[in-house]
Amino acid sequence: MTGIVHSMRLVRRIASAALVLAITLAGRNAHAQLADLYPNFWTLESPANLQATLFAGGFVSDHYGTSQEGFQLEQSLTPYIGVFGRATAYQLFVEHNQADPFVPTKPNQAQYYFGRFQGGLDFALYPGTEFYLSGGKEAGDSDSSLIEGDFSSWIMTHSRHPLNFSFSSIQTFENGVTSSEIDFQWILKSTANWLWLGGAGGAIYAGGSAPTAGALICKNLGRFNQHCVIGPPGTQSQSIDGQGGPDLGFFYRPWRVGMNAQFGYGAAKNYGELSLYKKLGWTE
Amino acid sequence: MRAARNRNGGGGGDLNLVNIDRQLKALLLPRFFTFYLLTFAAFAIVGTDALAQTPAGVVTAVAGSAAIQRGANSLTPRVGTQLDQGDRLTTGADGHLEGTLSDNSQFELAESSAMVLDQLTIGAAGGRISTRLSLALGALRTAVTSSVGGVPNFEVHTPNAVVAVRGTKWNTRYQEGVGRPGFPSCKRFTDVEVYEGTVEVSSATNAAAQHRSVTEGYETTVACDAPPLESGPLGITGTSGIGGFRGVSPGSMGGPPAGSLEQPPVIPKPPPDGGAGPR
Repeated sequence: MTGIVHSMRLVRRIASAALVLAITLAGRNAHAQLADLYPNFWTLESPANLQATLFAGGFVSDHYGTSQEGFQLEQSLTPYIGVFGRATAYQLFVEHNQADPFVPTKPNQAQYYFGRFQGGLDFALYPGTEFYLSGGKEAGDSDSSLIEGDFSSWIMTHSRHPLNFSFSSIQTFENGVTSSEIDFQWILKSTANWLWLGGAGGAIYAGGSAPTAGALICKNLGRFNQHCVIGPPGTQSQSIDGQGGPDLGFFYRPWRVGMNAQFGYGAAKNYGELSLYKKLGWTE
Repeated sequence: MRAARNRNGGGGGDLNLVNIDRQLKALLLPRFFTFYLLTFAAFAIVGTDALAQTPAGVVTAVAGSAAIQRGANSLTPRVGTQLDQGDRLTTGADGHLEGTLSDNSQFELAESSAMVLDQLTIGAAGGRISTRLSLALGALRTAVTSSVGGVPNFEVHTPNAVVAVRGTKWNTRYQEGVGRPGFPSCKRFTDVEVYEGTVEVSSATNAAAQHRSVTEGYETTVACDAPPLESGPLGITGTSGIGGFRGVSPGSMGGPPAGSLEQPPVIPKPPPDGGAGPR
């Protein structure tokens, strides 16, 4: 009996030692892999970079239009992680509306104004691949909390025509609506001063579970008029809808200014959108 | 008898010697002059180039800490300081140096960089015969006057790459001791950004490796001893841009951008949801 106990203890010790060894080796291996994939992962970036992006744009459709302007500040912490903040002012212009886009029981206004304030982290997952995760709140004619993820990746970077894939998703908590946008853009031409891009993209809207979600989804889709089927208060809706079309853009390197334009068809019928941006950067 | 023989023979021998001597002089004199003429011509040609090699250039702008190592001497560069072949130019963390070479090409050395003016040979007519700059560390921007006949006679060498040029503006950066994602176990990189013309990039340590022609608007990287990567659009391939150029003399370099990330930013699109939740 004593011998069995002794043997069991020995086996347990060997197993423990093997486990510790395995964990150590695995840890070292993981650490080595991390070091290969992300050199200097834990090192603070030196010199650090502060980047600012000023942006403005507009969206026009058969049913509504918006314009927005704002800025984004990004501060690098390590070569792979940074913090950013974004402030955007939106103006919403409603056409042919029969109900308030935010509160269906109220008569509609022609214009709505609100601001969106976000902050979060940005991750450089790989050269040319970034992921922004942020949370925030709106203020003004809309006051929802929200969480947003933006992913952008360049594929085939060492070629004449690399492809950019971007995916952006926003969840607004008060109505449970998720709006997602997806874009594919190829570099059509690169010169010393210009970068020309072309591709296609679109948006998908889905949700939500809140009592007024049906109405809100309709409105989120831009169907503010009689074409929209607004569910009675208290019902739940799981509508899915979207829009899409080709887009074209450019970036002018000397000024670090870019523009993107898209037009297409979808839930808001014919639409067109334009966005302009200007990048600034400082090395600290 | 011996004397007579000698006299006779000697007399005949003297005549022969004189004839031989004359013949030799007749033969050698032209060769002698030819030799001197050729030597003089050679010295004249070499001398023209040798004279043209000095100075190799001149400093046109300087800021922060910078130095010129000339032999055992260390000079502090100022605007107008003459540059000689063999000079080693260095800049500190806050330093920056610009110059014009005697072939009218221009260069800009960014901060924390080191470069040697290896070779700068100018022909009698002022045209470039060959120019070679060695970038040991840091970043170098170069604007080269067009080369004659498209022969790549302007080169920038880094420890692991050779960049040969045909009338162009481009940036070269050499980094070592820092790794990059996707290149395990390599810590030596040469990045080349081209803003005008074409440059031919090759590995300096791997002669068998394929050369790569990089055209305007594109960039490439040489990682350790590997062949140059296929070129990609400026700002897209993940080199993060070759920065650090201050452009102390605005416009002197034709204004290629300082580089940096030129990836279209992720910016919010117009809200198709028209805002968000109910108040």
